[in-house]
Amino acid sequence: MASKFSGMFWTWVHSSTGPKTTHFWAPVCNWFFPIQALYDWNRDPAKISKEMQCVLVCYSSLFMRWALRISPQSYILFCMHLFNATLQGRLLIRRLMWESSQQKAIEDKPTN
Amino acid sequence: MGPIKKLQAFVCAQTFWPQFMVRWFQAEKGPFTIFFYCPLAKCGISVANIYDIIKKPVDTINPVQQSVIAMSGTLFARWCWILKPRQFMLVFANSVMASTGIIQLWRKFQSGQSV
Repeated sequence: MASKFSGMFWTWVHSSTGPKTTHFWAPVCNWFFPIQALYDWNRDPAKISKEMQCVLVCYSSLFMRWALRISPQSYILFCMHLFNATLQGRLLIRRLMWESSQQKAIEDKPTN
Repeated sequence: MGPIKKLQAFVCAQTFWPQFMVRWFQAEKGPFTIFFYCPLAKCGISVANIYDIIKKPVDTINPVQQSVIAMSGTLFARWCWILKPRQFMLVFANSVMASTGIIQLWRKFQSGQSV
């Protein structure tokens, strides 16, 4: 049993879509997008780019649909883009709320 | 029939379109399918980055995000190159995306800031 598992493992390692090829690492590196959004959980909203966050939310929303429409469907890619859209959307909302509070502070400032 | 299919049927039913437009509307990867919009989304990341390069100051650059964009663009450009059939448009789009990420990282490095 152990040797069958280790045989399958090494067959996969040396396969044409295994971890020694770009076929493996290109989709894996997509996971760094939501990981980056987690790393920037408390990023200063003044330093968040509204345009880039909008684009990343749209990008992940479109690819969520794409992952389910390709054949075979890729649920891992779907989950990755679901996380990414949610987390990048959170950063976008932080930025929009900060801009709104800045605008409010300017309006409330007593004019003298 | 879903709403997109209904819209596609409505648009294709109009008589003023030339035949080649109707064929494009009904294509497997035409504008009424998701396959048309995904490469555009990838180009959107490059456009947003170019806008940030031109308009935004250096202290707003997110080095972690730009590293991910550069690495993802590079790996996907290589992946699209080795795929059969070779996807030249995606290679180009991903290369541009990686280049904008590298330019942003270079600007950050030149300014000497860390975060």
